[in-house]
Amino acid sequence: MGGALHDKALSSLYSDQDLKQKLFGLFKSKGLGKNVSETLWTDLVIQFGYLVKEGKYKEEGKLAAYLKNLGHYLVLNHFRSERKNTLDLNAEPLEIIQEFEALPIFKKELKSLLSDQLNKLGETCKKILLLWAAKYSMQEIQSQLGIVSPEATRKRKHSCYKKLLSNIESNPSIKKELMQYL
Amino acid sequence: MSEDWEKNIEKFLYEEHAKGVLRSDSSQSNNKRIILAIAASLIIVCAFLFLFQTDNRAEFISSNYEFPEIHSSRAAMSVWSSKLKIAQKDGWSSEDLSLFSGRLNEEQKYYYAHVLFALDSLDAADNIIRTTSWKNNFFESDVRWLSFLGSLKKNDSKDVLKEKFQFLDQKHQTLAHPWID
Repeated sequence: MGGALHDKALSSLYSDQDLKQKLFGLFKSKGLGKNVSETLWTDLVIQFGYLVKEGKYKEEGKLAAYLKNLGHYLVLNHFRSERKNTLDLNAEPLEIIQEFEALPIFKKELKSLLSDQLNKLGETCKKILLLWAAKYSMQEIQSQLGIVSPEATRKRKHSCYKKLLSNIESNPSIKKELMQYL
Repeated sequence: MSEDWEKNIEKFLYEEHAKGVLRSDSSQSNNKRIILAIAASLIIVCAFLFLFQTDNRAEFISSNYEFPEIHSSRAAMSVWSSKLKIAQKDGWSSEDLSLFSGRLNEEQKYYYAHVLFALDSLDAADNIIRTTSWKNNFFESDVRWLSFLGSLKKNDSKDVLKEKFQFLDQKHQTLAHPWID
């Protein structure tokens, strides 16, 4: 599932108050405040969307339990990045966290650097790349952005992406940051 | 290695896209919430104003146009008539004039409706009659009343009205009222 349908599913999950409250309960039990919980809830939905897009979410067991485990992982990651005591979290069974160990959670600083690079490409390039990364078809991107044909869209996507990679490669600090997540 | 590195860029791009989708949802949801809150507030304010106004007007009519004891109702009609003339001058609409009738019993409504007829507040009179148990035989039994009431004029002075009602009393003492079975 990709494109608009995926986005619709993401929105639906994001507005699920029942699930949200369950996750907020978990965040609260770890001593996190409302603002951090809101941020983590948004992150959680985005990370879950990514796992689904990549085919890494297997529809086995309950969704709520899966999201709770992902929530644990994000809380752990949050404490790691904040360099806070993780004693309570270490009490959780390790295998639950291991499930997401391969999922890279980028730091704010890296996101900010990448955003700068993305913005340098111009608005249309940025939109093309974002839609492409969300698995929108070339026809869908063409139609949304008013580009003349799917072929022209594909060419522009290729050129934009190449430019982005080239810019990042020529920036050692960003590349170094990115390498830490490999 | 390069592939993994690119994979991370793709992940970042996906995250940016998803963030935009959720932000847009959140913004729409907030807008909806604000619109709903404003609508709810307006409804509450309007309902309050309506109730306040309704109650206030009914209360005003009740206190300023008090209906006298029913045993002297015919004489009271002249008083009512003059009072309701003032009410009309005060800008009371047909709706306002019929509003108060909710507080009247069947018998009182009978007189009240007649006074309203006399004052050409036909809509208000009609509204009141419709709520009564005697609505179906009103027009049959009240031909005499209506012909008399036709002689009432909007600009009749209180004395003239009194005189007319006294005349009515003398002429129609035995008049059968529709609410009496």
